[in-house]
Amino acid sequence: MPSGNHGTAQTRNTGFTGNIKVNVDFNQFRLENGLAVILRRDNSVPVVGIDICYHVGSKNEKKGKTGFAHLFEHLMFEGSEHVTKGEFDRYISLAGGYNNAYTTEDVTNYYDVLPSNQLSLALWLESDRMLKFSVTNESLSTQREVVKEEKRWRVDNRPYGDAPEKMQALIFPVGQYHWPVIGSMEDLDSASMEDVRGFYERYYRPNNAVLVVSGDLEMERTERLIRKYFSDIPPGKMPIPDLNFEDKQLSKETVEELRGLVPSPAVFVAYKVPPEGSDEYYALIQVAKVLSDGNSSRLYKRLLYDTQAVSDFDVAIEGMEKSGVYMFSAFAAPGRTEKEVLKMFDTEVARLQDSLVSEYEFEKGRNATISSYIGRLSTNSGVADALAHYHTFFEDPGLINSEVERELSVTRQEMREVVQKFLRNDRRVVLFYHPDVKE
Amino acid sequence: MTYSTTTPLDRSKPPKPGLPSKVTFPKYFEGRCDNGFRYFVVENHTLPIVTIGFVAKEGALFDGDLPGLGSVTSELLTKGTKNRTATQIAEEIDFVGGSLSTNVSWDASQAFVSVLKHHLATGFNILQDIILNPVFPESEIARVKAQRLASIQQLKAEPGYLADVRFLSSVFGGHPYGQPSSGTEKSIAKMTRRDFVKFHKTHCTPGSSFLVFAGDIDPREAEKYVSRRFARWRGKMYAPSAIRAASKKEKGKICIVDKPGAVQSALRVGHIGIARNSRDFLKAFVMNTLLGGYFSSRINMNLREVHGYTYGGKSTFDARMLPGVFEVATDVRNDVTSETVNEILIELNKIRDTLPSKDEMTMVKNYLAGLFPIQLETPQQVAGRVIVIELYNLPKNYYRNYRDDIMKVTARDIQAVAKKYIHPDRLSIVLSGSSKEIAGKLKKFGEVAVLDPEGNKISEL
Repeated sequence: MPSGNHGTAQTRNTGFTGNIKVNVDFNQFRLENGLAVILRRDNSVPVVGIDICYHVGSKNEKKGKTGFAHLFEHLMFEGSEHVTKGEFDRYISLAGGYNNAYTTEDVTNYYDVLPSNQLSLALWLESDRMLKFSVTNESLSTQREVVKEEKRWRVDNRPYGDAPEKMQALIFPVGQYHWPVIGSMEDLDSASMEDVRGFYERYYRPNNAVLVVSGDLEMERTERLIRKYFSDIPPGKMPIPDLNFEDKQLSKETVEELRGLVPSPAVFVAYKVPPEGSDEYYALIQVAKVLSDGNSSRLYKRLLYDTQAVSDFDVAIEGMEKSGVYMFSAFAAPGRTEKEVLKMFDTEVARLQDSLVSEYEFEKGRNATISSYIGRLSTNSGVADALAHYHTFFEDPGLINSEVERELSVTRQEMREVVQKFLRNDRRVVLFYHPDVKE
Repeated sequence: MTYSTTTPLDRSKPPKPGLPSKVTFPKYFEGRCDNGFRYFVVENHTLPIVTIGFVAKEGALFDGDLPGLGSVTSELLTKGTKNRTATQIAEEIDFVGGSLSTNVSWDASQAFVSVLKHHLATGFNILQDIILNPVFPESEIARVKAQRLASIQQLKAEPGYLADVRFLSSVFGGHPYGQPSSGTEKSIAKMTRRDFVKFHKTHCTPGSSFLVFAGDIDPREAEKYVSRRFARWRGKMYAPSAIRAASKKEKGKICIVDKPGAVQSALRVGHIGIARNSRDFLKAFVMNTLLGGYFSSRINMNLREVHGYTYGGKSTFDARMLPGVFEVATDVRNDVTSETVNEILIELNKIRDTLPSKDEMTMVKNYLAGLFPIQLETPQQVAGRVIVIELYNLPKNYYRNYRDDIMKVTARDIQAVAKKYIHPDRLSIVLSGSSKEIAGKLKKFGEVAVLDPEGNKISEL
């Protein structure tokens, strides 16, 4: 059989403007069962990063069965046909590597980092758990408890810990982004073996995944090994259901006031914005830099330096596949109120709507873009994760080289436009937290 | 390329590894100025980034009666120099897309700047300025203090923070290691400009500090920068002030920092551990990894994978200039709290009383030896190791021999260091959680004191 049945594309992109040229070269091909493969060679240290990204996340769940994608992530470490319970982690440790996984609304991502002479071991392990469903009842009940403990730790036992899921539910009042990735305790309790198996048969198939290997490897040998371990895995028999993504545009500002065991008043704001990959998304990223990147940013100066109205604040843009969320959160300093903090934030947003950012700030944001782009390439696991991500979301791993160009092509006018269009009160939800007054 | 897929693949056994690559700790350059100031260069031109670290070899251990002094002093370095205001420093580093940070550990005060190669001069100039010319302006002091107080107030709502503070105080008593190195509300309020000036002057001198350059730079270029600024730096030579090691041996009471309504408890169990430059350190480190230092460790397997009590459990030897803390840390739901304490005690006794199996030994050693090159992927990581060698006066070939030394550790060594450094009869047990839910069942392990977040006793059981 000739290699590269589906074509081996050599992708090259040139670096961006100026005197810095950094470029990630990679090869990509697809196996007959549909598994997408991306290889990138970098022999500077004897290490490989392996990343398998399944295109399934909490948005593929159903109401009443939430938390599945993430629970499943835990179960994938519980053994497979030739690997008994607990052995997965043991094999990787024995080989001198480490591994982990994460689940988002859109993807479930597994990664292994090992000395490069252990590459076949990782491929054997990953292919075995892609081959066949092997979850036992015992594993299901243990991992259900572990996940519930994770939820207590992340959400229930942490001040403001419920803010992210409360905001998510409000900003996505309907549809697949409405529920949190970790799910609800009730749904986790009711997860049956049948549910779990169905989930696997549908989504954990090679045609719904991408495999990335980055690091100290030889291209031909690695391709041969991948074919050896992954070619005989059958594609899914069940079709991957259409998502029919649902969402409802917000029509007015939602404000909720909450009381609880929190140390100080706080405000959480979320705006619904376009999804990752859109032009508006890149413009909003540049806006975030002006607002909150570093101690010279506008919000740092106003909230922390000039007025000291907050003890801490954060701006984050979460790019998801079908929508984006722009978030602002701040904790009021002693003697300050959450309302006053929100007012200051709103003043800064209004300023961005009214006038263009200065040439100086604009240039500063671009420099930060270039720096963070280069910084991301420093580890094999980082590169593997980025390639898998760009493939899964956009079928375009080349974005690892070209995305920076898109960020750099944003103009000051576009920055003002996206703020006018998306950072509007009728597109946002606001949560206020008040400490419970002790008697 | 030919290969055949006619015979089905035998998946029953794991594939054999290929020949391991030779892993060497990268060579690095060491230079010295006439005034005793030293610098190191970890050269790596893969990416056009340069990181420069400044390290002074004394940290929070010297906070004295003002916990957090080193930490606040270090934060203030970026808040004004003879040549730049706080805002100018922030503007200058942000404009080139760089990063600037300072921190204090128990054993060092450090400052790091990271910039793209073509902004190296800017990065270096800011770094040297904050070290050589800080002015600690009163207005900035007031700001930083107010911010610290606010963040301590925030932290006091975190179960993990409350448990840590009480636990360290229980383990170390009045020793500096028993105080929070980020400060307390009292100590922060008391600090004045004189304290910061004095701390910086005393603990940041040419003889006691060094620079590490990592990334896209060679020794000649580094030398140019160093000689321009640091070669003429004057200051008293390094004279390590003597602070004794803590020596508490008696068992601590079981303390619950009460958090009514908590659905989980943050649990800390431990006692005084080992010093970083102890001859036993590497063995103790391997022993701890096996016990609770990685995912496949006994404690995590027991608490998480077998019992489902927790999302994760781990143990640590925080080895410092003086013996630091040994602790087991986890977060568990209320109804299995005493069961968890019991399992931890079982594990602590087991590692002393029995030899680890051959399999466990192979796994932990392979894991640590294999992880080593993965942790040397970036020049910044290599620089981090160089800093460890210098801080703790380890032999220069320490990391060159590291993998071999790990592989030499035997099951008997593990048991011997477990007996020497793990003492179930000296444990402090501290929880932050809902006393109403958990106190009763903990009585079987000893006297239980219920405390408020400030450490005042509410009741005793």
